[in-house]
Amino acid sequence: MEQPKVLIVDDEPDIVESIKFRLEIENINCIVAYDGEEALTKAKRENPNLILLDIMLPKINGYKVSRLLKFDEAYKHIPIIMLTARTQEKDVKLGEETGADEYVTKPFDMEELVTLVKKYLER
Amino acid sequence: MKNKIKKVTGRTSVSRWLPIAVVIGVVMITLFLWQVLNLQERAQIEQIVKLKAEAIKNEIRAHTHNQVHALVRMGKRWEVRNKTPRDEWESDVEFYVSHYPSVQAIEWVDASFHVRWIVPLEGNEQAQDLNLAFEERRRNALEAARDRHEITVTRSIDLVQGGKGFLVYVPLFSGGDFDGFILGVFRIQKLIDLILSDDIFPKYSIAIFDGDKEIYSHYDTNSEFGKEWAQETTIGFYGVKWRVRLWPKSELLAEAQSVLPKIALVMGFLVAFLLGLTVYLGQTAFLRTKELESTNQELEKGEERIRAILDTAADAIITINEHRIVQSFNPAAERLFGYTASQVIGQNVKMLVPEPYHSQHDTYVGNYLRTSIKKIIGVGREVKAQRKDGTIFPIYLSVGEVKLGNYRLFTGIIHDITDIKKAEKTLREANKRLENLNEMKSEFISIVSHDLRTPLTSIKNAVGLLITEKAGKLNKTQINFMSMAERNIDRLARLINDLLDLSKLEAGKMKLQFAEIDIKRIMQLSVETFKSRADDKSIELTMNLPEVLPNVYVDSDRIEQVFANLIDNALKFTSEGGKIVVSARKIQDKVEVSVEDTGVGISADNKQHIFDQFYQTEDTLSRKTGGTGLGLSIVKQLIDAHGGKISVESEEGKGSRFFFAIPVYLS
Repeated sequence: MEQPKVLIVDDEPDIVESIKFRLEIENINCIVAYDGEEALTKAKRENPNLILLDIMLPKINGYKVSRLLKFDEAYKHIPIIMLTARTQEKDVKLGEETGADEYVTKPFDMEELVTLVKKYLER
Repeated sequence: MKNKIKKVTGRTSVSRWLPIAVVIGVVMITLFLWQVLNLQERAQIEQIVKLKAEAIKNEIRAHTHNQVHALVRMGKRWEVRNKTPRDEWESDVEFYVSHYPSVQAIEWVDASFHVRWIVPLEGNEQAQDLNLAFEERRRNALEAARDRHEITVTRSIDLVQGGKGFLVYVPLFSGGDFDGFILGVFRIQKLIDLILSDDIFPKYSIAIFDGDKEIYSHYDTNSEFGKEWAQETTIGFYGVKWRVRLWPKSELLAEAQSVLPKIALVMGFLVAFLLGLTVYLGQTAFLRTKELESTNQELEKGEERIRAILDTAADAIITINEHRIVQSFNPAAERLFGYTASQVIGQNVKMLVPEPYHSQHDTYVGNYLRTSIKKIIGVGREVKAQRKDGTIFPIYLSVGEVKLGNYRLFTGIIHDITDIKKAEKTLREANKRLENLNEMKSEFISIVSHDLRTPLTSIKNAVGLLITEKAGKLNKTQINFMSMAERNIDRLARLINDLLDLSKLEAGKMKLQFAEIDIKRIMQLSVETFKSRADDKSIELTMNLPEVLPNVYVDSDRIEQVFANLIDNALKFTSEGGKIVVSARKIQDKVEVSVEDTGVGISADNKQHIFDQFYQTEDTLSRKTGGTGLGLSIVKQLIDAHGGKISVESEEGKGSRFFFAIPVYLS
């Protein structure tokens, strides 16, 4: 099986680094981005198997990134797992409208996240 | 006011019986006077009748005496002539008889008491040669008259010719010898009729009695009129006694009676009435005056009172008339507006009103007077007023209307609300600040939570990687410390979540997603979630559900959160071997849910605060259990948001039971 590719997007380098470290143990190829703009560029260029997307991002926020990808025929197949500290209903609703596949609240359990990621990659 | 007047009249105490007493008094006097006049008149009439009776008596006696005397004269002539020859006697007597119609007959009776000569003979034939002494008593009488040489007049007799009459015997002597009698037979009716003059009969009724026998009558036997006025007198001649009874006819009374008593009576009554009326009116006038006096006093007092009220009122009070001309201006108004009363009274009230109210005021009053629609009368409103120095200030104006006949006054009570307005403004600003602060707080919590979560996530991830030995092997001590770090990271995460929930609940920003929910499923899910933790502590976590339970209308996530909090709480405070029962039952249109444990329980003191934020019981156990102190507070707010109420029953050392009711779903 080809090595899966996951795009990790968060403006917090520590979070990006810890997820990257953990997923690489699972033999997953990790690409990282620290803002919305970069996320869009890398998603389009690398065409990852999964995107872990934070909402509060510089330049273009996570909702917008998700929407832009999910409404693009070329990229809408890419599963998106949203990561956020926000739990407000309003956020949840927007998250749903943006077409994100999953919604994970920070702080999340790393092992649970890994299970979730694997689940999507196996599809 | 009315009552006061009544009290005053009561004090004046004028008897309303006085006019009646006056009337009665005068009527009595009148009646007395009338009676006196009547009596006097009666006495007068009696006197007239009496005098008349006397006059009649005298006349009858005189006439009778005359006639008897004629017979006596005949006797004298008989004696002088020594027996008058029959023809001479007869002619003499004839003349006499023709002259006196009352004479029925004159006869000569001889010494043997036999009737011999009769004039006129016609009509008296049966007396011819009649022996008058045929009876013992009459012979004695005749003999007595003869012996005593006395004229004898008999009592009345029934005449053979009809009617009443009397006889007169005159003894005759010639040269000492007894020659018999001259006998006169008189008809009483005729005699009296002739005597009494014509002026008597129209005015008087008359009757004459000899003893009890009526010998003469001239009256209407059918009429009793005037009998009470009757006067009697007695006529006596030659041993005969007649009673004359005389009484007036209506003609006499009409003549003699005057209208004076009647006039007196009528006048008296009139005077009584007028006097009574005068007294009554006088009294009324007196009372009126008293009333007016007291009313005036009351009015004066009232006016003083009103003046005192106006003068001491803290609010400005101004009255205006229909033409908006100021009628009064109290001292508070003077202080408030800076004008003296004299500067304002008589002026248009406009001078106290700034533009643009100036023109509005005209419209108000004009509209009201025209349409009677009250914009401001009877209710107060906030408007602006203008002082003498031109400054404009806010007032609360209430206007009252006073109707005095056709005349109308408007009373304005003006309260300066400058300070209130200031305070209101301050309050509004403070409130605005508080609202802002509250929003800031919510925002702050939200932001802080987010910002706290981000580093927490990094820490958690890092610790997680270490503890799962993804970054290399750790020894036992290192793992222990890492576990400690992980536990506290979780605790911190829970605290942040709770804080976030609570701030949203308090700000009312928690939007509940109500739906028809099978409560049993939520309960089962919650129990399953905590099953392993309960097993770890050897606590029996069970459910007690009825076979049928209706669906409820709730936000399932939030109710799940409630169960999670309550079961978590129960687990914390229940020691090993204890029991936790989650149950539900239908009560009317609600489902009552409860979480019961056999834990440490809650003291009465703690019960009051158990649902307060950050409240933790004092004992060390709760500290040790690592709660946030927000769980029950969130539960309470969530149940409140569902329109329910959470309650707790507990006994220290025995356990606690939390229960609440949620609405049944109605399709």
